[in-house]
Amino acid sequence: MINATEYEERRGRLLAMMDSNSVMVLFSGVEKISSADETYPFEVNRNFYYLTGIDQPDSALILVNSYGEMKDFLFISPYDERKEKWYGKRLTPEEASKISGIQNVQVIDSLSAKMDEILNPSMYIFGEIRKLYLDLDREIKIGEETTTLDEKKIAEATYHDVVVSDAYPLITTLRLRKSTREIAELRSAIEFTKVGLYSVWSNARIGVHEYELADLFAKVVNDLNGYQGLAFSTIMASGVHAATLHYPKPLGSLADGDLLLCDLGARSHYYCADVSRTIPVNGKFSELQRTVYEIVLNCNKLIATKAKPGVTIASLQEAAIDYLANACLAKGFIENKEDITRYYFHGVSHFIGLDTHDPYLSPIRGDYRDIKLEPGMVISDEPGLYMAEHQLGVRIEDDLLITNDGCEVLTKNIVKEVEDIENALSSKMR
Amino acid sequence: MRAKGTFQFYNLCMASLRYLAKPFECEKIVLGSRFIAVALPLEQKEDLTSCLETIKTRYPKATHYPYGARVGAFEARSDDGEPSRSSGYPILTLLQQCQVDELLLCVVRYFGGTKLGLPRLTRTYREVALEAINQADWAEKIEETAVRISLPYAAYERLSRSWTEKEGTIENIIYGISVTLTLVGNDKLIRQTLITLPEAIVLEHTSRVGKRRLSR
Repeated sequence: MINATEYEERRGRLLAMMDSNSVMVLFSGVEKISSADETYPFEVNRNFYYLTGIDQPDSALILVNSYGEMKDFLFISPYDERKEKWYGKRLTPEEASKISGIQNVQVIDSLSAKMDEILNPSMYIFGEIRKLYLDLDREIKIGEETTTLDEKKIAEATYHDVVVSDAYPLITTLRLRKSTREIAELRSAIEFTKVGLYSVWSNARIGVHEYELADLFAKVVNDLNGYQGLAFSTIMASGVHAATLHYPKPLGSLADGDLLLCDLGARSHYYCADVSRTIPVNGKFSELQRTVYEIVLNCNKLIATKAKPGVTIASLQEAAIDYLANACLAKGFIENKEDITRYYFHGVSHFIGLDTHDPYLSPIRGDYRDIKLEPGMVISDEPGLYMAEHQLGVRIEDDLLITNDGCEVLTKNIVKEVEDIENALSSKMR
Repeated sequence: MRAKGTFQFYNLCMASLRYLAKPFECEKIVLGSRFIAVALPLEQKEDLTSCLETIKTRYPKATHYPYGARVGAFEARSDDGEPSRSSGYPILTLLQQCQVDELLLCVVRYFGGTKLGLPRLTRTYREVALEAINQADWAEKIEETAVRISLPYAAYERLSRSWTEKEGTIENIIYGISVTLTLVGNDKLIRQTLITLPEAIVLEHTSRVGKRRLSR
């Protein structure tokens, strides 16, 4: 578990990246409407969470760089007897302070008052502050109809001297390199995933529906992590369904001779595991399945040997394409190397952390594929081949922690060799 | 024919229609039978069944649930097992005479063991319904302006000190970097208020139909 000292350290490092005499405001977000008056389960904004550890809606963080000195304020929703009766307990200021390490905790209604004191030239309580950082992700809602993008426009119109910048790239730069405690969280998430995945395997019999296995995975994970849920919607795809990358409705049933592709992950305090394994439903790979599987497996291992400091995800992708194309050419699946795009059409790696794709950088914010890997970063290693005409899709995905001289495969305990999988399926597990 | 006892409400009746400001109930006991008038706002005719269900849940196992209901051109009534035209008809007639709209008025009866006879029964239903109409709170529909504005906190403080209920309401307040809120009320008064708030940024300006409570 990440403690208050680490949250303080994170805020300190962020402060050093901010311009002198500037202020940052981050919001936890609010519950979003799914339909009519129903809301989706609340998901806290990860940048806010990364800096505070606070996991509840209607909260905000103000971070002021006042001549290099840090002032931080946390705002949470006030005690409301009726709301508590309906929606359960919220954190008290004392609890919020203990989690985040922020001494100054106030009710959210006083956020505007504090901002006025900071940005209004007639007050300027922390000196002349003309730069405001906001997380300009369009998905952050402050109210039902207000986003941080609206806040930007309003702030610029209200305080004419203030320039608004995007806080997202600063925070994601920090989030890329994981601390020891963060890596421990990822290891827990991977351990939960492993137990869940093995439960799936021991129940993956002919005739079972894909969704039953997806549900089983969720249940086992929730038992283990205390109902913290999954990193993302489980992909449980058998036979030709596995040729659809994000196969959405797992209504199919497992058939003799099918492969089953499981792409899934548990989470631990929002840190995500992201693992894929592909197994034969009847316990034995056919010759064709084994050929395809081994191409993917060797590519997966190749990427793990190449992932090290200084390398980019873009170069790993090139290596993966090159390997898969040559291997498919040699086995006669394709006639030209370029045709590999028919069977392999996604990226081989992405960063992993508080989000499954962490950080998510849209093209306007820069491409994550060109970031040079550094020790402490965690990426996925997930080559695949998808051949609808052969009724199969194979993906093998590990999570790699970049070390000083290479990488550690965090998911190394989840078996992936052909013999290991066949042994596992034949004996103890079922 | 003028229904007996309607004079009091005629003082209230004017040219325009009245709408229930909030649900209302009253009760009368005649020869051991309980008569409970329940008036509920009814914004669309589709809600009639669910409104009746609400009443039946609140007063379960009553002998009869006669009612009259109006939503604009839509009118409905039911005697619910009482003699024909003894209950639903007088209730609906009252709603028309008193020019009230968008409501369901149901008179729940728990039979007390003594029959009232048709004339007295009809009179009782009318009296209980009228009692409810006379005592309920009514509102009129008015054209309102809703202006969504954003303003720094200091200006918001000034606004909350000067703004009174007479001018309208402040809705949907969000305390972000600035305070964002909606002023709802009389267009002219809101415009005057905005002049005193040069810092405010107007985000949206709309007209809508609102309800204003009538004083008794």
